[in-house]
Amino acid sequence: MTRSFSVGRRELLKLGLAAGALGLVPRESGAQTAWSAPDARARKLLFVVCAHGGASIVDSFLPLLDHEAGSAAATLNCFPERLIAQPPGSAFRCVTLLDSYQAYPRPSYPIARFVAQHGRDLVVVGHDVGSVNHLVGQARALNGAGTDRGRTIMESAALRHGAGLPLPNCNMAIDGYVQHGTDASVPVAARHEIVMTPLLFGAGTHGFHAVPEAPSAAGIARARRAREQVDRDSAFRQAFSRDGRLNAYLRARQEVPSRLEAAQLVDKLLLVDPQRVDRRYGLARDPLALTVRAQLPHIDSDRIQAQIGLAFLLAHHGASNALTLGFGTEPAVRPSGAIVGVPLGFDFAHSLHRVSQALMWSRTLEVVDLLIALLKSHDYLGDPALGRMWDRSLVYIATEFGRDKARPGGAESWGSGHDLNNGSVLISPLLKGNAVYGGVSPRTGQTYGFDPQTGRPDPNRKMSERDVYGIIAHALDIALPSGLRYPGVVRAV
Amino acid sequence: MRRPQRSPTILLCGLLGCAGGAGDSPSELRVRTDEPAAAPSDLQWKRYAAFESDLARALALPREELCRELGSEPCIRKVHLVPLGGNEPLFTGMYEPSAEPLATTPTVVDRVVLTACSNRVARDRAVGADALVFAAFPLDGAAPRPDDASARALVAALFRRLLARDPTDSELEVIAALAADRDGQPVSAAEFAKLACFAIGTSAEFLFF
Repeated sequence: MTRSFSVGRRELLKLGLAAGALGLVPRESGAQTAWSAPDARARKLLFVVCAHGGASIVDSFLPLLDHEAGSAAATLNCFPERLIAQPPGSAFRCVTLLDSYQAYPRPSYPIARFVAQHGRDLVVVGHDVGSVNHLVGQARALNGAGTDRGRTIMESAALRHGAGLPLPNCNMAIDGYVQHGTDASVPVAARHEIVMTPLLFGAGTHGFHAVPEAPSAAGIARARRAREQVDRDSAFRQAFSRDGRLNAYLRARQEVPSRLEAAQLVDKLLLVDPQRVDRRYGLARDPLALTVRAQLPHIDSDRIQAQIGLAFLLAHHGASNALTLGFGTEPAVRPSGAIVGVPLGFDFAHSLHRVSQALMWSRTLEVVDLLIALLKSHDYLGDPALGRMWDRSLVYIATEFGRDKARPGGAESWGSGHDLNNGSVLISPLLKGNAVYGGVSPRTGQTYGFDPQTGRPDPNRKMSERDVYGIIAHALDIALPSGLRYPGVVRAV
Repeated sequence: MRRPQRSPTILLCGLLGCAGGAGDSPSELRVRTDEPAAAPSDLQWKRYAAFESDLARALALPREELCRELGSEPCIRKVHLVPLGGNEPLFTGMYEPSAEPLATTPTVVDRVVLTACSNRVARDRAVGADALVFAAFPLDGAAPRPDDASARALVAALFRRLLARDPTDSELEVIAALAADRDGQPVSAAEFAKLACFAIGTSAEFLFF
């Protein structure tokens, strides 16, 4: 991969402003960017949807047609034209519904529908990755191969836009997608909160609301003050006064609960069926939570829909600005008994490449569509003056690697291994959408990159996870140590 | 500490090399590099299984009756498993627990301990004179005065159950003071019992070892 960006005087000046944003310049300076209490008007929202197992871009948004591959068509992963759709006015051609899904139910959500509905904000980036190991690839997909001091893009987004939010960074994914970044200087508040039970997560945001027969709030406050005094003066505390873990916990105990409880999130975030909650718990039926439940019909049985509901509510109520969602390794089972998805997610391509990729892309895009629909239909913080949530959002479909481009001669069904070559999908009005940045080589089926300054495809250029990270950072107004910018992809503000 | 504005070049080096901030406002997210290095310690975070076991033993409750969130799902083993230091490898693919307490850990600890204490108080209140844990005074009616022997006996019993030691005189005084509100009026006996149990059960000494 070649890269020849120059960091000129303008870039250095922007770095200086960014340095001010990071607190290296005193607050009184006129050149700084205020970040320590970011204006809600400027806040950006990041949603990372983790496509576990290797979501192949050439099986979705960058398919190769068999007549393009020519003599190599029989041994490359390519498609007949009848399996390709390109909505009118769209830059994307995409894989349609297949003729057969073998033992699996035919999906109801074609990729073309997603393109038709969100194509204006849709960006596909061709790039390589650095590892075919699941955990390593997952980490690199989130930390841009370490381009930002080892921080995940979610940590960077939380640092940039999440100051003052109760839980700026929440993560509901699995495996390597739920690992923190490696920058030890990132404060605990910006590291992600791991969420395992989205429907009930709201209960953990308050120390005593909805606890039956709980003491009064005044009594709890007095008990907490008494506890602080005991903890401060005890022999135990004296013995471990320099213990970093203990000190961090005590500091968090002083700062976080009050912030969480003041936000009154329990009623707002609880997504359990209210019919199943006894009234003695004193829960108010939040109208927006009820609306979310209604718009996510399988929220009680489908974990990813529960994640979407919680992610939307956390962002809407100003509790978080970086949300990570992720499929598990098991398919969803509808109340009817229908199976949605495949075992092992996209990685089932080892056994059944084309069918599993098609099923999982359909499932992934269907849930992203549900998320975007919520974001487009609600104002940020419920304030019309702040505009729709979607106006300030970016959705990143993260995946760890691609899949083999080769297939056994003429086979309609085959298994594929992990591949270093792939692409990523980003959806946001902050990007110059309806565009493929890069392309796919007809001889090899490999994707290639583009010129970050102009966005023009460059068959001789290979991009990487760093560039995906960089695009997201640029769109979210996050300054990177490298100073890399992508004006060819990101809309100017 | 105020720092002078630097040239862009030096700022670039600063970005690459280090980050720091002036001031320490709790409401701000800061890149912290100004903390003193922690002394080596064997202090461990009491994670969910040990936390559950100790709490159940201290309050003489079956583990499954310590806490159920909204009366349905187990608080410790399911709903709040991760902030209490656990992990679930099969369905969430979380192969390792969090190395450190999460942001919600203090809130969750408060919630679980309060629920468990309330459950014990309810049980003892129902059996009256046969109360197991909160036996120092009747749980109906008003709490005893903070300087009353029965109030101090309750505090001492809770220290022994939860922290396996006797309280110091000052600890007795601080916790027993919960028997009265800030106007000096007695709270209910049940409320005092819950608050004392909560204050001791959520202390750092119970959560780390």
